[in-house]
Amino acid sequence: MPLRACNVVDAMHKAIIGPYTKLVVLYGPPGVGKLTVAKELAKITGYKVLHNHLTLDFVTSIFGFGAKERCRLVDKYRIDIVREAVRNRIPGLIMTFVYGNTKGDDGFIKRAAKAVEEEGGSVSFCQLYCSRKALESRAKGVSRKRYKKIMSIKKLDALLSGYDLFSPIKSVESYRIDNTDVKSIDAAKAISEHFDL
Amino acid sequence: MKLIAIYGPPGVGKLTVAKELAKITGYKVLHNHLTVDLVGSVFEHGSSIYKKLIRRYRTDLLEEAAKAGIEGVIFTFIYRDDKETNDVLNGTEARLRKLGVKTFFVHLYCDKGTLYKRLVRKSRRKFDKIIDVRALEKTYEGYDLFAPLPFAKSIEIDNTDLSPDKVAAKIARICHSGHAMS
Repeated sequence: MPLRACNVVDAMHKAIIGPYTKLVVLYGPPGVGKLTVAKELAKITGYKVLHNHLTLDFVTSIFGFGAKERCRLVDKYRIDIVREAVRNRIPGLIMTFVYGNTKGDDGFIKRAAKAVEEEGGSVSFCQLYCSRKALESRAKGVSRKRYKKIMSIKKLDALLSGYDLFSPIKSVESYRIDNTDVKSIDAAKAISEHFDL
Repeated sequence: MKLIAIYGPPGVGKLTVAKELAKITGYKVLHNHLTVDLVGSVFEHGSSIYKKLIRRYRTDLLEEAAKAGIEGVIFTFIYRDDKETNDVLNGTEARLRKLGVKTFFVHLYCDKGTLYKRLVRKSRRKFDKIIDVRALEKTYEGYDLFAPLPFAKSIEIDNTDLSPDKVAAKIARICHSGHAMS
């Protein structure tokens, strides 16, 4: 990054006052409770929630499963809105995300983190996971109907056998929570304390 | 690509008609709440950055659709009768035209009493929609939500007494005849 006055101001702000925007990436397999925990965390912190289905359902309206533009576009809009959030000094943002341990996912994480940091924000990563049994029973939850979420065990099984959805993100350090027997509100409290949000 | 852009006041039945039209035509539906809910999750509704990003994402996805050779898209939006909106719509339509997109504007409206009844319907709760008259009046204070847009000819449909499937069939018939309205 070229040294410019605004960069210096951003760096000073980050060092003295803290980052303009804190981005919390909350990731884990479908149904683990990302959105539920994100909402609880938002109540505690006042942060905004950008959950994965907002961009996904937007792109899916035109580019359905199997369309080759799909991943590129979802990544593009996610990075753009996160960048704009920092640029516009939104204090905090919780982004939910399904990480499948693929090259594409790693590339996205790298680019999203870079975008946030370039604008003077900081990124923290939190992984949610639970037992397979708990995941299957949660996937059928009624609250999932509002968005185009996976609700059948068959689809979930197919996804779990195709991708490594319990893997932590390789390139960064994550705060990991096994929420098999942990209430959403307690998971949210733990995250807030761990990252000092 | 054919773009059928349906506009009208909140609650008039844009999404319902769009879905019926999709059944007939096989076109994709890009309805206004996909971007409203996305951008609204991070930014304050009505702020200038909110408006800017909504326009950016809608235009961008429509351009991507045109470039990818998608046959048709049904797009729903709320038209505000001000200069800024007209300039943006006009500019977007022109940009899309360069990508080979034929746009058909459809102006959907009904009488006020009918609109207020439709606003409170349960099906509207899935998205972050306006569901009462007071919120409607507050959000769009000073705008004539029943106005047709001035820079292009719209297909005018009063759906006060017309079922969604009949409206959809009418739109499909007109658009199928191939004459773009702009």
